[in-house]
Amino acid sequence: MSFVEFRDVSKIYQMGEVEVAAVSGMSFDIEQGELVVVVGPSGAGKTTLLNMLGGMDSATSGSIVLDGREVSAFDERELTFYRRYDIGFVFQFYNLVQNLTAKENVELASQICKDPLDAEEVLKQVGLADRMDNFPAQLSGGEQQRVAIARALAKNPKLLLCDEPTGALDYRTGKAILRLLQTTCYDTGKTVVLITHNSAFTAIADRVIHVREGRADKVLVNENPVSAETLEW
Amino acid sequence: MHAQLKEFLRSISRKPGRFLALLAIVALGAGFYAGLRMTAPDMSLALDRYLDSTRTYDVRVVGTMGLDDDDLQALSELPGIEAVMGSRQADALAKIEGKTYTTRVHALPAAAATSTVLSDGVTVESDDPNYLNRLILDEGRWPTAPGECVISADRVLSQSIGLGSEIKLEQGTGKLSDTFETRTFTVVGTVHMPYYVSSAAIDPSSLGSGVVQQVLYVADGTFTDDYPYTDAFLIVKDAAGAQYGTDAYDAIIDAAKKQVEGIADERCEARLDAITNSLYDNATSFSGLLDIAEYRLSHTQAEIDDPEPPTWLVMGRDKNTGMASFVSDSDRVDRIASIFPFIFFLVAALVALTTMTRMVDEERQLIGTYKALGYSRGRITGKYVGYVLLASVVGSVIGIAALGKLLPGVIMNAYAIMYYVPAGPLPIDPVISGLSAGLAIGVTLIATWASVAATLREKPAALMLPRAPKAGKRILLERIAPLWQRLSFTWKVTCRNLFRYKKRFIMTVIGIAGCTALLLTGLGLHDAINDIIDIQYGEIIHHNALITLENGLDASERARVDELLEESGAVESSTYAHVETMLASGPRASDKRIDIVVPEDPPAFEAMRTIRTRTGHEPLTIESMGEGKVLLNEKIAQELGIGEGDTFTLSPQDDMGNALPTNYDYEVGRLFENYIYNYVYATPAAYERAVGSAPKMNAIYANITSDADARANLDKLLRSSGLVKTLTYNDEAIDTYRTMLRSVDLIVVVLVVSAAALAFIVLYNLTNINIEERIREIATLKVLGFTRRETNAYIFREIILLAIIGGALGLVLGVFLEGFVVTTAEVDQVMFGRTIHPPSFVWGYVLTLVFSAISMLLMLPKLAKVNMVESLKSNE
Repeated sequence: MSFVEFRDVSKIYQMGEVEVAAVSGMSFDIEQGELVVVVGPSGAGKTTLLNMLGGMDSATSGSIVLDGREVSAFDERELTFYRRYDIGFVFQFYNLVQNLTAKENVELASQICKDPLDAEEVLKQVGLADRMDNFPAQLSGGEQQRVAIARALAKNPKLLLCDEPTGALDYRTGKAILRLLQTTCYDTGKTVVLITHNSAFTAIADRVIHVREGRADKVLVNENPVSAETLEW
Repeated sequence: MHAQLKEFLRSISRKPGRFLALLAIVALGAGFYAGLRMTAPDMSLALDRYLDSTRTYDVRVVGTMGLDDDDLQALSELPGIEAVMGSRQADALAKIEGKTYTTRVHALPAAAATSTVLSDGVTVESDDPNYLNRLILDEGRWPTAPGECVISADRVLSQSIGLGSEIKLEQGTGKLSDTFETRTFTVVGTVHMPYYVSSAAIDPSSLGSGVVQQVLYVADGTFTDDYPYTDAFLIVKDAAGAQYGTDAYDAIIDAAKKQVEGIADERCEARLDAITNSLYDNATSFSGLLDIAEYRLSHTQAEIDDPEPPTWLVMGRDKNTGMASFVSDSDRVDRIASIFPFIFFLVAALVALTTMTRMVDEERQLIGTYKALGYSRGRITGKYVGYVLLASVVGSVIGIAALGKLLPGVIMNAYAIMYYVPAGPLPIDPVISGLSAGLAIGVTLIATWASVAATLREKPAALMLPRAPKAGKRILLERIAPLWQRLSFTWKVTCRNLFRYKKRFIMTVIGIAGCTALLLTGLGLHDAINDIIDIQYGEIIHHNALITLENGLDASERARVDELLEESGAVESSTYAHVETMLASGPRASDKRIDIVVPEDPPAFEAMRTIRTRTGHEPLTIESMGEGKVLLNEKIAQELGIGEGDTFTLSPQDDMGNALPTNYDYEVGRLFENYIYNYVYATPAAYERAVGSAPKMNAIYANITSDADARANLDKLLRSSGLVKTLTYNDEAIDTYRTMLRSVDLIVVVLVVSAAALAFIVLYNLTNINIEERIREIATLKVLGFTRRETNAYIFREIILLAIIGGALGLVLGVFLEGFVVTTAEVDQVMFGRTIHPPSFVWGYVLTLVFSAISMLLMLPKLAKVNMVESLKSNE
């Protein structure tokens, strides 16, 4: 049994009279410790996939299993605790709480977890040892995204989910963030799922899931992922 | 339809809550102000309508020796007079259902039996134009034979008396048989009496308790043939066309009174001649009549000596105890109405400001788009101004239409406990409506302009970008390391958030503080009103009766009074004093009615009346004031504009209450606490120094047993002695005041309920905006796996803190507002309590927190519905 199993998962939104299937009959597996890149054009259902996997949204049909537990059967309360203990999220727009310092933003997440990592340690890991007491507004975009990653990591989740984490960053910073995610995956053994519309990122992945029109079009295992540093786009 | 107009309409329909909250607050503000302001005019209108439709007198003439048909004829021939009705009345103590009442007995005009009441319930039609003060039959039938009577339909007056009850007159001012042929009556009907609109304030009487407690209209033939008319009631030409209480009405009445006064001397001489002639034939006693006339002059202590020729007292409706009381009550309503609602406008402005600031923030990009498309600043502003204009105009119209009728109705209904004045139509006054709507629309528009202007000045390019998130900042509290370190993480966040959005913090705190202040004002007003009686009769006045003596008693007569008091066994303690009603003048006001009290034995008097300062309750004594100095009560000192060490003037008054040209100057020693009526306390020496003669002791302050039989015995002893004018117990005064104040209290209830409604709308709105502004933060928390309860706690902790801070500030603000409202709402001769009781503070605060809590509860579903996916998708 794989670490993550998507079996024939569909998500149908009711838009007035019309039913729109954001994801329809999607199936794939992910193994523990992999860096997975989900790639596809916009509107293909990438984000919906991630939201369902992250417990932010529930599937209309099909089954989603993480580490042997059927996430697709969770009720709202179970989903809350699933997000709390098992998932770390990183967004395109960081979504930091503006009124908390970098360290406090990390603490905001770690304080509600069972077995959190030390906030200061994690911030050092992501290279923000000197910026811990700064507020988000005092940090650059890249630094803010590092705080967001630290916040997700500090929860010590089973799965780190990143939705276009470099989308709002410049080339160099974006690359550094990718590098951070990659090393995090290798060093900590965390499973990382990264969503992007940029197919260049597939080179760094252990596994690449191509999404098209709500389906996992192709799932490829990359035997020789390259380091994010060498990536060009 | 123009696209901008479509967009405008959609901005209403997409978020109806915002539009409705704005509309509701304006409706409440405008409606409350309009409704309260319209109450007094509606009350005046109702009184005028009632009096006109029952053809109630404009001018009343009382002859100190009665009136005869020639007098009536002469009056009816005056050019300004339309109708004249001669009337007989007399006071008597009557036993009804086992209790004794001071009862006024009126002869029922014969035309009453044939009169008809129109379907409006107040218009009484009669063939006889000279049938005035027309009664409205409520139950039963008209008296048809001597021995039958009708009583007031008013429940307060009638109590246990009903149809079939027997009424027996037992004692009059003179011999009963001289006045009444028949002295036992059966109640055959109940009536509404337009002459007595009030059930609490009827008239003074020379009998029993000193006030009339029950009124009867008895069939023709009850009074003896010799008993003359006591009163003539007049309808003045054209007076019905003018509304009572207006200057136009007063002018018409004054002119008519002059005409009546013009023939008074001539008629009085004729009357004296007629009496002198008839005295040989018939030995009728006039003493009863004299007494009545004298007492009708309420409170004046005019000396009318028997041998003097008769005089006429010419009085307008303003001397009618009930009507005057009704008018002063409507004034009181208006005084409260003119200040209290302003808070509503302030809060409405505040709500408009926060709502529109939020709306403009939300539509920042839209404004940028409009600007980029080349829309002028005016057209963009127009959208928001139009939005607010629509909300405030519709709100004002709804509010004024609803509350403009509802509030006067509710308040007049409250006053119905005390007055029978049927409410007429409650017209929506255009001037008050205009003022109210104008104020409401004006403040919200100004607030809107203030919130839109800054955003509109920004460049389109800047508007397209999201507003930079407000930077987090260290707060002062963090510098206090020991305290800060002790706070839990979530509390740190809460504290920092509070100070991060300073504007929102201030707005919310002010909004909540305003509501708490309003609640406290209402509750404090309630305290102030109850304190009048509770303190005056609970802490200040310790005697329960006042006995006034006949004028000029000599030493032996006084000794006889003492003997009687002793003999009755009912008097527990007593002390003599000189009491005289005077008119006081100072720099700010003149001719204010006041009693000068010169106790014979000041310490004994002080045992009956606590004299103290209001603040600090410092005991004061009359004798310690120093030579020539007197004690003056706080309220009158304020009205006269004087303080300790200043001088004021007292003048005696004539029968009609006008100041006589004699002036006595007094210097104020100290000011003392007193709530009802005005008093000067002076030592005999100080009095003598000012007046030039020693005070004549004419009153006794006494403590009398509460035993009814002993009281009755005392009453009998004193009355038969001929040495005592009146014996008045405080209990009756207290009851009267309580009834009066209960109706005022109902207005307070209206105020508190409205303040509560306002508080609720404001808190709901603020909570709503607070949450809308933080949707993204809430979504982030949810994604992080905060449970519902943790998310709620995170958001609400702040709002609760704001409510706690705002409420506390509101209590401080409320103290000032209450003080202001109380001093403004105060009426002549009564000082309201000046302290707000601790429970009111507690209630005001707790209610604020409860409303806050309810608002938050209502927000729970909204928080639960925050969609993580949607909220975090875009870069706001």
